[in-house]
Amino acid sequence: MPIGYILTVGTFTGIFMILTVSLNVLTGYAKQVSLGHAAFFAIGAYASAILTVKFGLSFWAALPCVVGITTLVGVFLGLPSLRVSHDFLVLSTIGLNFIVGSVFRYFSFFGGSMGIVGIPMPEFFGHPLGTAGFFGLTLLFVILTILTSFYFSRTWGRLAMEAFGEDEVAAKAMGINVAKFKIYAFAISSAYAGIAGALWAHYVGSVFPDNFGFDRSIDILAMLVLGGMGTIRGAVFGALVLQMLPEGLRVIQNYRMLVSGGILALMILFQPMGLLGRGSFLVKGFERLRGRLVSHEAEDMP
Amino acid sequence: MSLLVTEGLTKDFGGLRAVDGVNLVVGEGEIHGIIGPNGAGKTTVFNLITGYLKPTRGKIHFRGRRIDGLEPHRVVSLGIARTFQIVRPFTDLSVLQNVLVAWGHRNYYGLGPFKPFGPAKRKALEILEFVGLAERAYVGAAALPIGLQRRLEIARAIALEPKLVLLDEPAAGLTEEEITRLKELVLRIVASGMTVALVEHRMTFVMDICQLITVLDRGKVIAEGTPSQVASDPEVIEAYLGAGEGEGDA
Amino acid sequence: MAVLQQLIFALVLGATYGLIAVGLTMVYGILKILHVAHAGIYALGAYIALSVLQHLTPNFWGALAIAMLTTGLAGVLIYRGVYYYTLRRSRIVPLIVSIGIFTAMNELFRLVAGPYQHSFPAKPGLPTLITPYFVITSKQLLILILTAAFLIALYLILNRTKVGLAWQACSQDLEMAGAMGVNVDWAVALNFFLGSALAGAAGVLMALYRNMVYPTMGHVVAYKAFVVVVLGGFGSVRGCILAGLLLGVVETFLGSLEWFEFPRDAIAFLVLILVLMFRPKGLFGRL
Repeated sequence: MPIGYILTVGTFTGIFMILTVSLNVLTGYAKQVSLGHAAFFAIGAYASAILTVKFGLSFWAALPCVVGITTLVGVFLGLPSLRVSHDFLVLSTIGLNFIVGSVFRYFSFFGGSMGIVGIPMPEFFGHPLGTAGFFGLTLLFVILTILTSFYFSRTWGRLAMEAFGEDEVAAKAMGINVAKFKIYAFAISSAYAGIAGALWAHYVGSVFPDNFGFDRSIDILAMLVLGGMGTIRGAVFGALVLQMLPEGLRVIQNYRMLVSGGILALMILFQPMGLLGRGSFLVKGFERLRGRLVSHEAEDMP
Repeated sequence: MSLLVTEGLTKDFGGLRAVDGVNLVVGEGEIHGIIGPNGAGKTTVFNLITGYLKPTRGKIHFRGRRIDGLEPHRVVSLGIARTFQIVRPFTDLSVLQNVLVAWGHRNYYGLGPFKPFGPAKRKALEILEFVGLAERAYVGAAALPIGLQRRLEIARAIALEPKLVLLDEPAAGLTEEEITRLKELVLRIVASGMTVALVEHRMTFVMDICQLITVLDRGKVIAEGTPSQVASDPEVIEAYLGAGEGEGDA
Repeated sequence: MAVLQQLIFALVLGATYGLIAVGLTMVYGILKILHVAHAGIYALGAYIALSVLQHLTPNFWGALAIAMLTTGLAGVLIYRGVYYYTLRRSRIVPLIVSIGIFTAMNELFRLVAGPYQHSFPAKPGLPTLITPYFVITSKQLLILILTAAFLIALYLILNRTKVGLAWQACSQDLEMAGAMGVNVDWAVALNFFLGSALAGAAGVLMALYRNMVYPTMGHVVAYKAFVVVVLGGFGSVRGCILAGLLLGVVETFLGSLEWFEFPRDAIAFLVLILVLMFRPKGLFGRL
């Protein structure tokens, strides 16, 4: 296997790890199912593409703007939740895929169906990164994402999200401003997704509206559910498996959405904790192996 | 000094008047009971005070400040905590985490949500100690029997560091022994400087520990006074007999 | 007159929206589940009718009947085979299951019938109405008449039969309804059958109208039907139909304006956000 191929697969896997970890904040902690995560991803990719190609910014200068833009979009999308209860939010995320897609396709500013091409490779001390360099860059962002979200998993914010994700009425009685924390969850989640989008755009070199459809949102959700909602290790593992599996088993690529759909339905019915989630069968087996009755993994809360 | 005052508190649901011009005064440091037959509007009064419902008419003052119409989380931040008639622990979380969620109430503003909760574990354990749940700290909340889930609810309420604790039917579904322990816990809560108002069906429980009792019937206050005054009030007796001595849940 | 003609377009569009969303809103009203797979049922209806027309009979009515029967049964299968086991679990569970089923259905359509568009070879056998002011094609006429017939039938079932009464009891409180002697299982299954059959019919009508059937035809519908449900006030059948018509009108008229530089499918989303901000209970919701 050529090394370039391996690095490419590694880079895409890393990008999807960032996406899945970011979805974990929204869906794993706050229990807000997002069917529009690919849209945040797309907005990040397009923002970075436009800022670098049309406005001539460097990758590094564009990145903070990209994060700012996707965060704002996340906040905007969370705003209706100030007025309405949980079910409505899911609906707006379903719509987001189609809106973002059709806006990018429709307005010439976003390149229309021709997309945006010629997105430059990020430079590092004046030298454009190669395949290996970009893999390193992606790895760096994956590590940063894992570390920061690991920190977040131990904060009051995460605790509040877990609480209202399970019971909004009781959470309010604990002094939690549920609407505000929903917006936080959306904002944090979409900020990470924006970074993933920027990486994707600069690696591939072009963005088209069709790159980021409803199917991609489903894929990301399937990765999280497979790995285990609510844990970072689960998110990383789910992305790894679902991104690598089709590379090893070419047959699967033909049935990708069938696999994703099947994983969503079957896992949540029979293994709702996923493969590596809290109290999943694998984790329990592992704990039994280590001969500990009640184990509190570092990542699990106290 | 009066901690909580409601003036003409009224709530309509469609054509039905669930709470009708209730004037309630809860003084600092007391244990105040609110009793009444099924459907008298007791829980609705709690929901109005804690912001889960908005009053149709009337005012609610807490420590001299108007609180009617505020969101539940704002009411909590001003110093009123509550428990629920049907217990609502966070079943996906451990007992300790349940208390932590409540203890975090001061950290849900500004940059607080981005601070780690680790250092607060010790305090949460102290609170569990106070209600007698320390041994179960690391158990999943769903695994607790109902009596202990009620204790957990009370622990969460205490962790909010309130001035006033509203207990909604704290004795429902408990055994006699558990009720004795609950009484003792309520007395300790008051001894540590909080005020307690409770809605209850079990008359003996209320008579034993409350200094003042307000009796509701069909949304209206029909009597108020010490346990002995209330117990001998003919209107109260009639309301209870008329509705058939209700021992079940509202 | 152009406005009248536009109104015809709007009514046809709105009628199909209403027809799809009615099933969703009934399911939400009773089970409080966001039934995303409903849009898969819609596409299933179109595919079933297509294969009946290709292999069994060229008769449109036969195809419609078989499609409705099949989609109705498919709806019951999804309820009894899957949702039934998720009702007592966290609300995230049925939602994710539903998304999974929807995704898998779309993929099955693609694998079985191919990724391309099929044309829909049926003649409704109705005349085209030509007046000095507007034209109603035979397909439009069929959609309007059939939708009206379905909705009147639904109205009668809801208000004049025991089943309708049972549904109302169920949507108030599922456990209470059971305690009062309603056979909840049957009532919900029947609810799914009817709602799914209507969605299947909507799929067939849309396939006929646009003369195409393709695997992802349920995608945009999935979310538009939800918009209609929200606008209609979650769980209200009448509100849902009004909202469907309203969305049809808004989309058609806004979409026809020269200066309105916005993709058509985005309109529903804008309407949704605006309504959620100002009327969180929906336009036609109670309360």
